[in-house]
Amino acid sequence: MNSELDNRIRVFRAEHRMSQADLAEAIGVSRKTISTIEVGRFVPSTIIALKIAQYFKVPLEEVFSLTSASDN
Amino acid sequence: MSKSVNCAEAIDNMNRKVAWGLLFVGITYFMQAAEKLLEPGALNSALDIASGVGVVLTMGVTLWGIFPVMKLKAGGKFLSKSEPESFMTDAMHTSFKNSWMVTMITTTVALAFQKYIDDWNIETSFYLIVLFGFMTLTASLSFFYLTRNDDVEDLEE
Repeated sequence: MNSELDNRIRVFRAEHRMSQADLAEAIGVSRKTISTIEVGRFVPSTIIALKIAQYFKVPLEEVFSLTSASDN
Repeated sequence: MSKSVNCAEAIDNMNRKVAWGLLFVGITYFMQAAEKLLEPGALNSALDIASGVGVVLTMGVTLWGIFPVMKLKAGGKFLSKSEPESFMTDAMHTSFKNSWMVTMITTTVALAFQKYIDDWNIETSFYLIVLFGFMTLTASLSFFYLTRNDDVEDLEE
């Protein structure tokens, strides 16, 4: 079964009134990295995923979740 | 107060410029391969000049991309990490892999037609130049395709 990584980064950014560049700067990656993670073009490393969750002070599962391809 | 330097953006910029360098070196090598096939003449001289321009462009764009990262490293501001933590770096690695696969397939096909290729009587350096040009060109084109802009990803809200 194929699984895809879904994320709610855009929602958290909106709640914190942050741009992609602000979040990228905060966790030490480039803006392109954040934008491609948001749309699912780039699967982040565990380190980036944990950094994002830590930055928003939420558990990892609240930011990232696995969905099966058939759910979409 | 000095503006802080984002190392990740510097690496992304370096990857972009290295990809342009690979594109220029690929085109330059194909021009050099064409030179080997042509008789000395006006077109050959033009290709010679174009190859020189290609070499200058390759060196220029590559150094332009690498210099800021070297500067960061020299200043102790650059933290190296053991895994790729950037979309661009990941795309560059994937592009090298794609380039290797395409070159492997092309070489396999060429080997299958070895008997006919031998009949062309072209010097060995021609094939080495074409192979190198092909590798760099496919790596750069793959990188530009993988990192193409997507209107959706640029949406901030």
